[in-house]
Amino acid sequence: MDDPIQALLRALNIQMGMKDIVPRKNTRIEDIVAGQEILTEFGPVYAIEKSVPYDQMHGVVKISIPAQVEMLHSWAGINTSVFDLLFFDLETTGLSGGSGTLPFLIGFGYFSQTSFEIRQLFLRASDPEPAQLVEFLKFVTPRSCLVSYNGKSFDAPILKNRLILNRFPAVLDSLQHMDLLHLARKIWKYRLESRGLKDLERDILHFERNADEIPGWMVPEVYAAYVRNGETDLLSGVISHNYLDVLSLAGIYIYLAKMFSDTRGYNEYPTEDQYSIAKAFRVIGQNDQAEKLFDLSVKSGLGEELTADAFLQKAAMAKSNGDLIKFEEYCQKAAFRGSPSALLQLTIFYEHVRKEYQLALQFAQLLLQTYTNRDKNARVNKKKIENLNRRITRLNEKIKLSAQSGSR
Amino acid sequence: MPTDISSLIALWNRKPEIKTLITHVEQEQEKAATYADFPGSIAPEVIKALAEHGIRQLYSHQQQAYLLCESGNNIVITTGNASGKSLCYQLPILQSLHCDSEACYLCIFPTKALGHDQHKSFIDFTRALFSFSVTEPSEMAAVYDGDSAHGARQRAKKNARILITNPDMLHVGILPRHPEWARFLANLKYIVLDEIHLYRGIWGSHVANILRRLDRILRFYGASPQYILTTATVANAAVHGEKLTGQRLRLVSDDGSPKGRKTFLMINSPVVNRDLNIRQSIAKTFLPFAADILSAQVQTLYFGQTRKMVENLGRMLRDEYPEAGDQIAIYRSGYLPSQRRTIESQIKKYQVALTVATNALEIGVDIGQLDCVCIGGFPGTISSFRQQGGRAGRLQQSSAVLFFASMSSVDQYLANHPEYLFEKSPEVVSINPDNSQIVHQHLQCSLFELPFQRNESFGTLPLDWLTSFLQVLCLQGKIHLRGDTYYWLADAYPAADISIRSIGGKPYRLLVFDQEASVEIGEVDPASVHWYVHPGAVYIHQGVSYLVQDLNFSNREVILNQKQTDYYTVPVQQHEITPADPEEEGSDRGFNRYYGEINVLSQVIGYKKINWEDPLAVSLQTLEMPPTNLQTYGTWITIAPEIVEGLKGMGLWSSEANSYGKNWEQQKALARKRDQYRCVNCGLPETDQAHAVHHKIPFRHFASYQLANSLDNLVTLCPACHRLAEAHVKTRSGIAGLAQIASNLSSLRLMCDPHDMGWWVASAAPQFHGAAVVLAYDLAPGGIGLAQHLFSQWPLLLNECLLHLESCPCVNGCPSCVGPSGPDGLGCKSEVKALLSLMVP
Repeated sequence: MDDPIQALLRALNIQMGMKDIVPRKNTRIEDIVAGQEILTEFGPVYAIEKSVPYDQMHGVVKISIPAQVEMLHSWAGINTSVFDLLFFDLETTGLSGGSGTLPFLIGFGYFSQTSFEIRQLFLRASDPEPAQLVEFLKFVTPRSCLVSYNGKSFDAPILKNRLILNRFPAVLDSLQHMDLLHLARKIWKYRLESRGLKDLERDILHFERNADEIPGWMVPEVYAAYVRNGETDLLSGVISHNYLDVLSLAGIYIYLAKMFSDTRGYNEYPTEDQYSIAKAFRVIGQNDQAEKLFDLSVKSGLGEELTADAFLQKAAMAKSNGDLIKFEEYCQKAAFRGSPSALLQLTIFYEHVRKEYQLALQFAQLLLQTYTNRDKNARVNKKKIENLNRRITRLNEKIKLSAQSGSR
Repeated sequence: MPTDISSLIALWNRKPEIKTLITHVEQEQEKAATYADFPGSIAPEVIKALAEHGIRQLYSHQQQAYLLCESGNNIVITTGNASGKSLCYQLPILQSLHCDSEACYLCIFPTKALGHDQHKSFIDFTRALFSFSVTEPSEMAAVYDGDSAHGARQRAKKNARILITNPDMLHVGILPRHPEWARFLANLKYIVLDEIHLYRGIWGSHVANILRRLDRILRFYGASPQYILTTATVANAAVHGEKLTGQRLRLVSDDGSPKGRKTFLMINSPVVNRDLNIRQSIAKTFLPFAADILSAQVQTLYFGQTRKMVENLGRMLRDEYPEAGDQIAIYRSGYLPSQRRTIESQIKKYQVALTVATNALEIGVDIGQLDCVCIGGFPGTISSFRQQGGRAGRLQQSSAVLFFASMSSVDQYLANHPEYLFEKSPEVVSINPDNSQIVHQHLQCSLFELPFQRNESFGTLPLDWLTSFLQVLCLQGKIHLRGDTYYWLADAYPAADISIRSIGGKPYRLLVFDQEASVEIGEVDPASVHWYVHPGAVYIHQGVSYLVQDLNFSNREVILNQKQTDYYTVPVQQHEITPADPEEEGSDRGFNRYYGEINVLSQVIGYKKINWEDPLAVSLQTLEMPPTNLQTYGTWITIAPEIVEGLKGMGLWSSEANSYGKNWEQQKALARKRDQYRCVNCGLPETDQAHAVHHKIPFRHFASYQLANSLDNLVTLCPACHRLAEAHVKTRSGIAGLAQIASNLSSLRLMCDPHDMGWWVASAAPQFHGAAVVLAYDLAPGGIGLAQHLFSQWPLLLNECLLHLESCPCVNGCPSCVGPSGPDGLGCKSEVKALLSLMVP
């Protein structure tokens, strides 16, 4: 009987030769990235600490405590001070999630009185996982809000899994969470084609990473190679990648906070951003500001479709103020630019409020044309066309009736 | 007006042409119910909720199951069809729901359809128990399967108390994301596994490993739920259940439910050719029965053995009885779900009288009970036979089961020994949870789910094996040891890469191009595509025939053209076996037997077109299909050289490679010249290598080489066409005949499905040191224990083969024994008989 491992490899049809056995290197993380071993009650973990002094530039953004955050926080739906924020980002052994995905590197940052502090907890090949988690929790517990980029769907669920698997209390459940990806999507969807963290870094912060940046999809393999055979060549790249991710998180946050409270006014901002901020202001009830910014954005040359939307927004604000004259005017301006929603609102307005059926019919027919120019077979559109035809029939009847009563 | 089944049986008894076909009648008498009281511990509210659904007393086995559960046992219930097995788990769950506000229950069903039916019952019962209003959405019982919407999944994670799912979903959705189910798993009180006899073979071995993974996770959450299992009647219900779950089980088998009167009729087709012992096809025999069934409007379900047979019979019936076309339904797997739901509801609502189906309707699909079930050919196992028969019998009314015996040796054996079907204890379900391929896969999933402690166990897997597996995974770099704990390391979600239903992952989609748009009409599992829907194959769907235009492996698509053809197709396959050193050996009179690992390389090299009207009109097409590789276990016998020599001396060994005589080279050259150096079959001209020259009638059939090598008997063939021709005419040698009869009888002896094993013979195989070999192997990669079982059974099996052969009335061999003799009247029966008599003491 031969070696049971060999027999099993054969039974499993796994071919393994000498070439698969990579000689083990004995470089250590300590020799590559300066840091210190922290000894927790569960054992050691490797920590890398860096302070970013205030007023240091990150691209075009000055790293500092934002003067005003209330507007941004209110829009993001969180209720907390800057000092309660914990910015974080994970590097993991896998990109598909599930309970087997291990965050071998937890990077996080927070505002202190004098600097922005960044810490990274690296799990060396033999460090016990709870050591890393308990050290991280030391920084989580005193704070009330996480800040991440896409962390609501990726990083936070992974951390929650690890806490459960290591029998820690479910502290994350009681924290607020500001996911900057969700905010960035709303602000920059009209201007930027993609809104990944790297895109914002380049297009908003104007920060360029250097060439030895490790792309995200390679990260799991780099860590696996380190664990399997002590290969550390690319590891420092991963750690600096994570460091920059955390720093850029703070950068975007500071940029957004300023955007919501820019004392210099908004003339310098790209037109689409003016429009996005106007919308955001409307959401948090800053209608005067919103109104001004909508006008500014239209004046500085917003595209046809967004201009129509801007007028629609203004119409909605006028309506809620009870100003029907303005409502009609803005709706017409939007309708003039082909907005189906404005056409529909006017049709309803003329039918039910003004009772001017001829006018209502004209708008309804314009709307029908807009619909039929689109894909007629799309299910949603079909339904809309059906409803509109019903409305047109009704309007024709009303016109006939009023003509009869008029002639009588 | 529908007639009842008894009058229909009476009618058949009055028709002489039908009565002669009925070779055996077995009556199952009605039986009164054995009732039992509700145990005193059951809350009055639960009793009231059951009463609202018409349940006012228990059958004795339901009470027994409840009491065993109450005292903390794991149980397995094996009572008859429609005996109220579901209540055996519903009752403990309802009682627990009533008195525990946290406890949760996991119900695992082998099919989605079965799960959905049970979901409905649970909703009804919980509504009655908690007086939920009908409009209030009940989140207490939730289904979690591939069809659940995202919102429903999130609600189930948060609120569900009763979770209904299937092994697939547990495998890929729940276990790898168990922290999301922490509330549910930590509070788990019962695990229900329904119809566990279906968890057999490779599928069952996967399920056993999924349960090992579940068990680890439950230990992590500190839960130790009780198991409630149900099964159709199999001989080893408790043992099988214990293998599956790794738990000790108590058996509940005393059936207290009432039974209606049931009549079994054994029907054997008339012999149409006495010399060749060829019987009329069962489809043809069934036609007069079908006529009476359709005119009497007795609701009937006909089970055919294969998808093809079902389609053919459906086509035949609709041609024969066009006026009853809408009374006939065809049902099999591969149809789209919506199409299947429609047919199911038609059956339930009595809108069709006769349904022709594959075993896709055997279980799990709610079509209610029928008046009559016809079983066209033995479905492979006794429990399957009983399950199909169990579809007949509405409440306590009379019903009938008709068995139509085909020409296969198993069917003819059963026609002569009907007691086998009624008396013999049902078979043993076999699984191999320790199959190395399967363990290797699930251990990865399990490591992904939870880090693995060095001293931990994995179900009942022997610890030294477990250590080897862990070392292999370390070597592969998929896991690593951190302190005393193995951690998952690879960037992968292993469950997503493992298919537990079939080998090779996602099914292939069948697409028909209708002008520009393509319509999906069904799907085929990846293990079958090579031989089932190769380019040029005729594929029949709902009685309509399609020609396969293209088989696209990368898109997993099969492109079909609707086309009426006057032929059907049968693939020609070649298999090449490479054995490793045998793990076990034994020797008996005249042969040695072995067991060990083998590799099987299979390739579809072409196909036959067979004319519908004239099955002897055959044409051959070559095909280039990629080969498939199977690593598995086999058992083989090598026949002693002196026996082979002896048989050769008596002229009873025709497997020998031929020496073609003195004029062969000369005749070969003449034939190639005559055929202008082109392949006669496909027209391919010779290039740098000479084409082969083939004997139309095999060489050994001639008395002299001069006759055999006459130019009239020779054709020039290119290598591909030659290979095909050789495979097609493969002379029925003695050992091939032996393999034929042994493969058929072994499925009864091993109590397995005949499709679970492959057979192969060679007269002088170099890889077996030139010996004559008969070999059988597990078709499941890595084996599921059938070959290992057969290894010890060879002497008994060969003995049974000889007895069956001696009692078979045919002259030269027939489909019921060693296979039919050729058109030239040459069969191999005498060779097989001579061979066996030298091997059987």
